[in-house]
Amino acid sequence: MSTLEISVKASVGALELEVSLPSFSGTLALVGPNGAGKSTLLSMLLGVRRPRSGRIVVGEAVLFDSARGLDMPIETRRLAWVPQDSGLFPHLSVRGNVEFAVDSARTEAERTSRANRANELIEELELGGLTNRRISTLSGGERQRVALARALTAEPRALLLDEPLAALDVESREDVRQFLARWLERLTIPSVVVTHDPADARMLGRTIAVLERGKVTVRGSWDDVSRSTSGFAAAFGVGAPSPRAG
Amino acid sequence: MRGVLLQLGCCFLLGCPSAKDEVVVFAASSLQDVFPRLTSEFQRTHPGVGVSVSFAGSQELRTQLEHGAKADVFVSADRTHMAALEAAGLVEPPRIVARNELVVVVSEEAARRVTSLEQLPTLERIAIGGPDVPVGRYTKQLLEQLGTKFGPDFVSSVEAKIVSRELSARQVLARVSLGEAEAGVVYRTDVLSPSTHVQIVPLPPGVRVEADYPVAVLGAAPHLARARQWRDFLFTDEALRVFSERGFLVGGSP
Amino acid sequence: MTRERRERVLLIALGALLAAYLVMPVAVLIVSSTRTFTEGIGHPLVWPALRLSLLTTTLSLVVIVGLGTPLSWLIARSTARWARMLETVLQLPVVVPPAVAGVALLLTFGRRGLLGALMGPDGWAPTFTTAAVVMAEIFVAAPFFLQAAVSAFRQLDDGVLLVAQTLGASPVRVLLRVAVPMAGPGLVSGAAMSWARGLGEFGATLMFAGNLEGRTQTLPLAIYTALETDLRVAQSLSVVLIVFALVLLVVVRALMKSLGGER
Repeated sequence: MSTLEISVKASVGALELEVSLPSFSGTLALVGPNGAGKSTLLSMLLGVRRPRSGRIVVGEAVLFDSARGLDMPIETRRLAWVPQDSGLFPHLSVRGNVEFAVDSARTEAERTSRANRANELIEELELGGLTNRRISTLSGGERQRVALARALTAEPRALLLDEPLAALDVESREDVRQFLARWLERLTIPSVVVTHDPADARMLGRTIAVLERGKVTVRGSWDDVSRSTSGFAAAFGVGAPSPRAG
Repeated sequence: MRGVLLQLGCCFLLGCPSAKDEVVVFAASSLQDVFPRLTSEFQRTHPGVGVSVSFAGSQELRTQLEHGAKADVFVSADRTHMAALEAAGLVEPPRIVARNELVVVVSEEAARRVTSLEQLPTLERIAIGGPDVPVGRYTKQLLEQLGTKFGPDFVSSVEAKIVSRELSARQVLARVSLGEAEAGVVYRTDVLSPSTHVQIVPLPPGVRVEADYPVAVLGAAPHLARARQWRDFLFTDEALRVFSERGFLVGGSP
Repeated sequence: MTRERRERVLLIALGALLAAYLVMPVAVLIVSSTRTFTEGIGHPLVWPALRLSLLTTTLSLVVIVGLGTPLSWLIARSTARWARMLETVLQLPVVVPPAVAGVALLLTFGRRGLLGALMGPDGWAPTFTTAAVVMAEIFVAAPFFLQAAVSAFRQLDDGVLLVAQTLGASPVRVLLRVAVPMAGPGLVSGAAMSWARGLGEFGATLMFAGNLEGRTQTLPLAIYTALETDLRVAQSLSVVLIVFALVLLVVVRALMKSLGGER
């Protein structure tokens, strides 16, 4: 199981971001109110935005280290990102989308490896019957599966999911959440799920981190967070659940 | 305020000047340099009369007149276009007011290599007027005469070097003046304009082409009386002197 | 009449007025020329001019799209000030009168211009060559493509482009495999406008390239030359040009529809 470690400082407009998360493996649910800096943190992980100072390490790879002047470009960080609307290419079919990840390989060896992975994923994610479909004809849940397949085909070092269930209708949400939980469990790479939904955080995150005004105020398991009243309120905008519901 | 708007609207739709006391002249573009002097001379003896001139290739002016353009007098650079208007019954009988001599010019760079007309085929780029432009037709006559003098090979080798058939003599001159074309055939009066940067190559004896400038009053002239006055003015001594000062040939002069 | 109906009629009337004004002269031109069309199409000026126009506009389109796509991509995705300034400057050829554009080209690439200074007095210059026609067309037509392409690229979803990058796609791959297909209709429309502008180009071509049958006399130049002799010939040639452009526009519409339908 590889780990992700991030420790950065940055100024974004009026926001002073100072985040230090020691290495974690498995899934981290990143929660917090709007404007707390969740998207900023994601963009720094991806390499879109450069922190003032800090260090980002995923597995063995140092993606960013201001002390040593290291800053990997987006294309080589190998961090798979699934945005809120799944970010699928509208002009390609399902297979086309997944194959884009295969064709983006840099070496022949990498290409073969990705191609194999793609076939495995299409099977595991039950996309076999959908391969020739246009993205616009897919349901929300199907899109997320395609996005996952595409992301994991690139054999990433870590997986970043932005509000993965927000675009789904309420009925599908529970099913997809369970499906996603099972999937994330099986990954050997670390992943970050940004979410507003307490059910998501509870079910998907092995660890939960609450981000408020650029700083991590609470970090721990679901129980830790739910017991901390102010933390819970900040994270989800609701009162702490009664002990029985926790 | 309303009066001004009304007048503007009138001008916009009717192409106004008709109300004023003036003469509207359509003149071949090779007359551009001589007209300011002619106009001031005319206004000395006819104060208060405006002279409005449109310069363009004779072929263009003729087409416009055939399609009903409103002008008083037409001065063409050759007989053919005037004859067409005569045949269509659009003009009163024309008279030749002046003549222009055709000359061969070379650019500054080419002048170093070509000093006599026989060397013309050694150049690479020659510009002349198109076949339906007056200067183009005259050029054809010139080439025919040169063919008689230097042989048919001369003509074909010159024609092989033609890179552009321009739509007026001024355009031909511009090409040579800019150095894009090495040689061209234009009117003598064009070369007398300031800042041309070209050299004239003398024609061999016995070779000469003259352009005739017929002038006629239009039958449908909006200012008929003034039009005739202006036409008659062109044949006065003062006007003819202005013409010859500018390099045109008048009367029986060589 | 209800207010809704009245206003709808007003909108239609306003629109119809302009539409009629734009369509009528062209319709009249075509209809009045049908008799002389068959004569006109056989006129010796036609085929060399048509072939030349086809050749030069195709070449200039290839250059405009080939070089213009990366350029508009860079401008669209950049937030730097130079990009904004460049975007404005690149629209200048549209504002400049074509004849003036021709003069500018002469000053740069003519025998006594910048290029002439480099090549020396006996060196090569593009004037009077078919290359000059292509150069003139590129100069006046490129801004139309650039403007449409920049606009189309600008509207692309940043997220999707970023996803492509995270998957490891190189910048060229992102442009060619993601951005261009997604911006498809906008690019095709811009290319069509650019092509049409190049096809109708006259002033700069005449000034810079000259007027010689088969080498530099494009269809518009042939029409203008024909105006000197015979209005009817000019009419027939004009109809040829219009039919040509119409066919192109129809093809482009169909292309855009099929591209858009793939979403």
